[in-house]
Amino acid sequence: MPGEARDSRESKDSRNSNQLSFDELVEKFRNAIREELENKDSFNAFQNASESFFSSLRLAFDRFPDTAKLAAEVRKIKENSLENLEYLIDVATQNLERNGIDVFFAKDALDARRYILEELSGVKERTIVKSKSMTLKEIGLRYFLEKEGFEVWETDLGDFLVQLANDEPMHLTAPAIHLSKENIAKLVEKFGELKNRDANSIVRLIADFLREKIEKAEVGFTGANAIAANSGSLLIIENEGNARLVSSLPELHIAVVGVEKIVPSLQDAYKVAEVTWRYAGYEMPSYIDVISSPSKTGDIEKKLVKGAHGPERISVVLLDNGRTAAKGLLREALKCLRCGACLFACPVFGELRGRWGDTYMGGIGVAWDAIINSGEAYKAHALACLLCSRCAEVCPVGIDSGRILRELRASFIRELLGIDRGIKRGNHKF
Amino acid sequence: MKDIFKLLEDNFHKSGNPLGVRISPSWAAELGIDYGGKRILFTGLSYQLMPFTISALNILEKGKAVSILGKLSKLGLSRLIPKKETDSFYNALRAAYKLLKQSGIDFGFLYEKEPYDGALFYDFGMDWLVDENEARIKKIFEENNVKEVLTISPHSYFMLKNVYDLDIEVRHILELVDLPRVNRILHEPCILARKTDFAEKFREKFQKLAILPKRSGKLTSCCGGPVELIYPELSRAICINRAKELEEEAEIRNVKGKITESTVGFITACPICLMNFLRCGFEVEDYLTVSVREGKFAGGS
Ligand code: SF4
Repeated sequence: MPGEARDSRESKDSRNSNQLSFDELVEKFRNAIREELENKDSFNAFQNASESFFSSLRLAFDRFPDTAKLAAEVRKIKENSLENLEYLIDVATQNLERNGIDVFFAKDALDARRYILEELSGVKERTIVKSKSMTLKEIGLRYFLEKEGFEVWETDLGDFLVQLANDEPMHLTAPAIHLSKENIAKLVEKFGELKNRDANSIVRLIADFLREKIEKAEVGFTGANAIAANSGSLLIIENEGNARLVSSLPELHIAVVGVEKIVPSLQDAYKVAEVTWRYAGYEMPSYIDVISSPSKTGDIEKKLVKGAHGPERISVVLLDNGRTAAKGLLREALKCLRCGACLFACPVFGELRGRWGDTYMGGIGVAWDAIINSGEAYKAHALACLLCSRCAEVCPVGIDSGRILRELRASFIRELLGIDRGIKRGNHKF
Repeated sequence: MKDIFKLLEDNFHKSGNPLGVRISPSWAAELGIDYGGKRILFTGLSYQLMPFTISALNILEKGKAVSILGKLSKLGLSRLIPKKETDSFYNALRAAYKLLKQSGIDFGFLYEKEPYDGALFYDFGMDWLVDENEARIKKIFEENNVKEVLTISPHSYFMLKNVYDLDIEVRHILELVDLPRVNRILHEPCILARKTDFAEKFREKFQKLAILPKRSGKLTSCCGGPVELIYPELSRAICINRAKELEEEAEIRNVKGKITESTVGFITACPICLMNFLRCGFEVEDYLTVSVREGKFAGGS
C-alpha cells in the first residue's frame, strides 16, 4: 500500500503543531518555505498550470459571458444561506431522510470518524475507494481508515498520484500540479508497466488499476459541491467520472459534506455548481451528478427494491467542525466554493503552493484551518499573506483572504502579548 | 517573535516609529517648506524608514533567530545604511515637493512632529497600536490645526483614508499633480490599484506616465515587500519573480534603463515596493523622482 498510515488528521503541520511554541511554528514554516523555494520543478510546473488556467478562464467567460452576473447571484445565495444555516441544516436533514438517505450531523472530525467507523463495522471487504474531497481530507479519512486496517484508494487521478508519491495535494482543484510527467511516469511504474511514457498511457494504466479497486470496494466515499435543502439532493461536479463510479458501484455510498454547502433549493445548488466549475476554469465539466436517494426499482410487482445498479444505502455526514461557530470575518470564508481561482492569482501561493496552509491551502486555506481548529500552524501561515488582495479580484464570491488573515493576526498577536485593547478594529473598507 | 512585536511596540513608544530610529526632517528644511498650516504634506515616515528597513533585513536574512533585530536596533541601524539607497527615498520626497509646487499647491510640513502612519502595525494586526496611533495623529493634527493632508505613500493614504477615523481631507499626490511621460516600466502598487475608490483615476494617470506590464491594474502583482520582516526569503522570491515580469516587458518594449542581464530600470510608486526591489538588487527608482528628472511635460519640460 502506498503511503504509510499517518496521523488521522491528514495534515502537514498539525501533527505536532499543538505542542510547538509560536516561535517554533514560525521557524518550522520558515524552513518549509526555504525548502519549497528550492523546488524549481514544482515552481515551473505551477507557472505553466497558472498560464493555462487563466487562458481557460478567459475562454470559459467568452463562451458564457453571464458568468460574472451569475457569480453575484451565487454570492447572495451563499450569504443568505449562511444567515439561515441552522434552519437549512434542519430542512436538508428532513428531506434527505425523506428520500431514504441516512443523515448524521457530526459536530467535529472525531465525531465524523466515529460514525464512519460504525458504518463500516459490518463491511467485510477491506478495500475502500474515495473521490477527491477537501472535506474528506479535513477529517483525515484516508489515514484514519488505513490505521483501522483498510486499504484506501484515491480515485481522482491527481490525488492518486499524490498518494503514490506519499505527498500532499498542492492545489484545491489540481492536487498533483507540482509533479512533472517524468516524475509521474516513475511513480506509476512502481505498480505497472508503461508501454509509452506519455500522458495517455499513464492515464490508461492508472484508470485500469483503479477500476479494479472500485469494483472490489463495498464502500465509496465522496464529498459534494452543494446540497439542495428542499429536494434533499447532493450535487457533485467532476471530469474524470471516478466520483460517479465511487458513488454508484459500491453498495454503500458515504458522502461527507460541510454544512456550509447547504443552499435552499436545487436551482440554487445548480447555480453554485456552475459558478464553481466556471471559476475553476471549465466551460462545462464532464459530469454533474445529482444524487437524491439510493438506487431503487419498483419494476417487480411494484415492490420497492433498493440497490438495483447503484448503492443500496447512502449515508450523508453533515460536518460542522467549527463552521457554525465561526465569527467575525472568518464567517466570510464559509462562502468559499473551493474553485481554486484565488490560488492561481496569489503571489505567495505561486512560490509555496500547497506548502502554504495546513489542512487547507493558500490564503483562504489558512482561514479554513483556523475555522476547523486544525492546530496552531495557521498562525505562522497567516503571517505569510501579503494582504495584497489580488485573490479578491478573481474570487466569484468576493472573498478577500487578506482581510480575514489580518483579523486573525490581530487576534493571535493580542493573545501572544497579553493585550486586551484594540479589539474592535478589523472591518475596514477594502 | 514575541520579542519582535514587543520591540516594535517599545520603539514606537520611545521614538514614535516602530524601528526606534531618529528621523531627520532636514530634507524639508533644505527645501524651505514652511512649518504647519491647514494643508500639509504627510510622509507618514514611510519613505524615511525604508533605508533602515533594508539594513535590518540584510542582517535578518543572514541570521537565524529573529531576535537579532533587537540587537540590531540597539546597535543603531543608521550606521549600516548605504548612501545610494538612502538617496532613492529622499529624492522621492524632494520630487513630490517639486511636483506639488509646480502644480501651484501650497502646503506646510510638520517636521519633527510628523507622526508615523502606522502601516506596519495595521498589517501585523497590532490594532491596539493602530488605536494609539490614531489618537496620536488626531491630537497632532488638532494642535496644528491641520485640515487637509497630501500623502505620498499609498500606505499612508490607506491608513489615513480607510483605517483611521479622522475628520480631515486626505488626498494622494496623484490626485493633484499632472505627471509627464517617461520611458519606463511601472510597477503599480497594490493599494492604489485595488484598495481605493479612485483606482480607475490612478490607473489613468499611471497609463499616461509609463508603460504598464501585462499584470497591471486590478491584477497588478505584489512586490513581496509586506512579508519581509517575518519571511524575508519568501519576500525576496516574490520580488525576483515580479522583477522578471517587469524585465520581460522591458525587453519586449525595448525600454531605456536596462542595466545588465539581470537588472532593469523600472519605476515604483510606493516606498515599500522601492525598498524591496532595491534590497533584492534591482535598478529601480520612484516614479516621482524619474518624473521630475526625465519627464517630458506637455508644452515644455
Ligand atoms: S476564496 Fe473564492 S476564489 Fe478562492 S477558492 Fe474560495 S471561492 Fe474560489
